[in-house]
Amino acid sequence: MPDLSPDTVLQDLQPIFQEALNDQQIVVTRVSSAFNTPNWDSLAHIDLIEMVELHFKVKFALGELHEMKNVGDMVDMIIEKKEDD
Amino acid sequence: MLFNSFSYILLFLPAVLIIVAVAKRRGGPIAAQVAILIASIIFYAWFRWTNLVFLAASVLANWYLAKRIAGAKDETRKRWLQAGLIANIAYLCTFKYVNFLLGSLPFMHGHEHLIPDLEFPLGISFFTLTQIMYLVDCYERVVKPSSLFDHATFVSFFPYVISGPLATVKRTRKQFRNFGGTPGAYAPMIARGIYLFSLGLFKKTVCATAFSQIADYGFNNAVHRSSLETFIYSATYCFQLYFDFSGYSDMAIGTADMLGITIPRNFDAPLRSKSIIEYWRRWHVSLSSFITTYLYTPILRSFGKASLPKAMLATFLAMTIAGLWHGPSWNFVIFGVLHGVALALNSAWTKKSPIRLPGWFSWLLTFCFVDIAFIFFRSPTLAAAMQMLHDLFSVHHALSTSNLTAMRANFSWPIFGPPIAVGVATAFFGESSEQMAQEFTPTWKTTILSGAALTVAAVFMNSQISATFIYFKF
Repeated sequence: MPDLSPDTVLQDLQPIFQEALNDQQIVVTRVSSAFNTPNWDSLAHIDLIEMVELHFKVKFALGELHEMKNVGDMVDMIIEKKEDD
Repeated sequence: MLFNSFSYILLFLPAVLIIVAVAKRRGGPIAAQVAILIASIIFYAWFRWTNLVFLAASVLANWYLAKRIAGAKDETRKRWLQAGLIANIAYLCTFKYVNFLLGSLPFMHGHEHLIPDLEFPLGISFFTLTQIMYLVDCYERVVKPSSLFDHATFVSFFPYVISGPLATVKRTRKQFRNFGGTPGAYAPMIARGIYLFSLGLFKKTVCATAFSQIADYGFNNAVHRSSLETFIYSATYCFQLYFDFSGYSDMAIGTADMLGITIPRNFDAPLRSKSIIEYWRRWHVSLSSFITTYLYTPILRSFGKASLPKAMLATFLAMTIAGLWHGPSWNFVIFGVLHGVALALNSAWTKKSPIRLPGWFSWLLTFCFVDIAFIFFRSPTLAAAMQMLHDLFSVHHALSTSNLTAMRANFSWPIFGPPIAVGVATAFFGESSEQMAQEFTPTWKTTILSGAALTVAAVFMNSQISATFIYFKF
């Protein structure tokens, strides 16, 4: 997966969020979180994480999920994990 | 030593701040961390020095387990984690549930003297959960195992050791080498800490005390309670607990800020929530985050492919466990079950129902449900809770106020009326103390507000008993 920057990761996340949250119009930003995004409940979160893990070929630990407070945290963690690969 | 005591505010806290600052300047971060660790030991031992043995045993055992987990491979690694989880849960259950379970056995009736009188170590529910997170994080290689010095400082850190907020090693440990960073960054933290501490002290000492005058009377006098009165009593308990626990959390976070350590936020105006899902994102945030990550997620993943029914079941199970975590009582189990069912139904409604309720109605529904669930949380016995529920839904004398009239004989409106008005207003409108602290800048306005909060709180502290925090018993 070449050229992973915060912007490209965020771009890649858009269709994943649209599918997981069942809303084709939704556009997430770095500050989007379960608190300010419709349909982002605990079940959608599990779907979302599985889809993100599959797409980026990464695996999140429970402790990382615990620290993931918004989309920005998710983007940073994905980049960090890909850099460690 | 309570946060809301003169000995803490005028003696312990200033002394610790000065000693840590001097240690940092003369001996560097390690010396400052030694000072923090000693302060934490003194603070914890102040309540009951014998408790230290149980805290020390837990710290030592988990430090050792984390090292073994990190040093092992594959299946052995998993075995060490399992051993660690079982040991922690067994440790917690021994102190919390053994007396209750033995006392419940039919053949023990008349032989109660044989049941060991186990001392309940203060904060065991919190420091056990903190260390469970630590072991899982070590297993999943999110963090490396700490030295004994770092682990003891992290677990016993006095602002949160008794009642949270639950902190993680990843975010907290590195801060013990930093203590607010440069003086330029640290100074605003100290100011913000004092500000948040003063707001928390006001919430606990003034608002929670005022609400407790009504709630305690209502829960202790079951004679002729009408539906209206019962609702008022359960609602005032809800306010009391909110101001008690969020006030405690503000003081804990404020104290940590003063030391240059940032710990997790715990409340975000939960009584304004328009759904039970939103409520749990705002109430006791560090615990609900723990429940979601370390209980709900593994339970749901163990069911295979996630689906709505499985998610509902996982929610129900996680909340029931969370209810039981509060203590060995059917009341807490029912409290957890009620919230588990409500969360599951809320999820299903959001996903499947096209109907969206008006905002005000959603809020009212959520607020009433939270109040009713707290009846089980507050009542001393299951029978008392059922009596309260019976009174709440009884149609006879539904709007009678004779019980409230009797309560007013011992209730001073000039003293407790204004704090109740301030409490209701701030619970529903304006910025929460958390938001105020996050947006804090030192100005005349914030200085006057902080000074006024401290002064009124000091008057209340001086004129009546310094009540302990409700969550200390968990």
